[in-house]
Amino acid sequence: MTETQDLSVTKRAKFLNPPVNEVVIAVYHLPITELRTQHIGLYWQQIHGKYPICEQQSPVVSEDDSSIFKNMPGEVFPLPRFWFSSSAHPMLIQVQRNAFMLNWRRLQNNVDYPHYETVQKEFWNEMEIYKAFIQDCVGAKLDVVNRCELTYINVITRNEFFSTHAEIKNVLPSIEGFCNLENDARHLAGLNATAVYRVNDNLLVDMVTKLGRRKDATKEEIAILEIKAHGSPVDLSLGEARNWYEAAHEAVNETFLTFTDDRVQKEVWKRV
Amino acid sequence: MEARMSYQLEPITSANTSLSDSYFTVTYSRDVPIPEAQLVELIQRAKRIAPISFDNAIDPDYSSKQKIFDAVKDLYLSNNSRNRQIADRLISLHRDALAEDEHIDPNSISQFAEFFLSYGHIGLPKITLTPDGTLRVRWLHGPGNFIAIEFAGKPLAKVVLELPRGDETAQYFFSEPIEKVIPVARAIGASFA
Repeated sequence: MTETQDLSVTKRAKFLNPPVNEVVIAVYHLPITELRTQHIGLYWQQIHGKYPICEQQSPVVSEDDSSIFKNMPGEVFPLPRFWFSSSAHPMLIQVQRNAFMLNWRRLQNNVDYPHYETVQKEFWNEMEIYKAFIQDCVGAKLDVVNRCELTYINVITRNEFFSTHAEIKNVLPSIEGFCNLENDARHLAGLNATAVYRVNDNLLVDMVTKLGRRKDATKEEIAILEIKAHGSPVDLSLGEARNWYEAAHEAVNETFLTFTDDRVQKEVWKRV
Repeated sequence: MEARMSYQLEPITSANTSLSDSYFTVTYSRDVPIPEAQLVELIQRAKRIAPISFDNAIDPDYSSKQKIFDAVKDLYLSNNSRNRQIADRLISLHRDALAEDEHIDPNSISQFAEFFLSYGHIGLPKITLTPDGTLRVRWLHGPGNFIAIEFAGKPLAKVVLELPRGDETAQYFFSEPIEKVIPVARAIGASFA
């Protein structure tokens, strides 16, 4: 099989029972200094029918961006991050002075993941609404784009290949070294490991593996595999970001397929 | 403030935008919870550790794009309408350069931004990119009457100055540290209006 054929097959890989628990598509742009809380109210009015719940959260702040969340001229309180959601569907919009994000969340176990195509279509639809709102009501623009992110959070629950912490190596073979350090005197009780891979000049992939337990009443022991592609479009434009996300999705997909065990993909997650 | 056990183990390569962590706790020890006082100490210690920038360490081209964005952001946020125009021009030049398979010298960008952030009161110049990828600005006042600065990204910026002297044109070519360009050029008679 040629490399091109291999890539195209990788790109098409889908699962009937994927472990994905959350998908986040985020774009960070030049801070909109004119954006105020009253504008957010006007924005919510536009999307209220679909997103009737609004909550405030602390902004996602990188080390370099802390200054943009301090009070702007004419602002009494710093602008927070806003969540817009609904109990009727799993989408969540997040807005802050320098970012727009859309999350798909598995709110119930029996909900099928709609696949990336649906989530990214929703992202761009909502992004167009927000972009037009910023232009019309705030007189600003979302250009220039600094950073794009595509994040998949996979929750790996107990299955026939993974019944103890150390057996996580059956699902994620490359962390076998950590598991093999277990002996009679000690047992693997937790794990939090991050690796960063460079795909190209504009695209990096973080891969985070965690072992732990749910915070809810079940206290179920689970593993988390978080794959986050991040980088910026080559010309720092929103238009080019579309191409960036396509490349990012391919990189995330390929990373997942190579990092997880083939038998688990087929037998547990039902790769088709 | 929520003192989650997973706090100090957040991925340090990028900000966390997901919600999944809010219902998941990384296991340190199966049955022995960390005492609250010790947890607070752990968090304080984690906060004291200087963050590592993986992006800069791994991606050699990261600094070029990031410097453009940082320069644009700093100019844009400087509360100066002239600087916003300069920021727009800078991003436009970046995109034009890419279309020509060229790029702007990252050191030139930093020097350029520093200059205009330091001198908020001088006029808006014409801004172009040299074949070497450095930024050049010019204030044109008429034939034989202009000043041009090339931000070569080195400690000294290159200056070309032409001034009318009666029927003749005086020409000056010199290099100066960026902070001395304006006082030296003004002493000769240059205008940055």
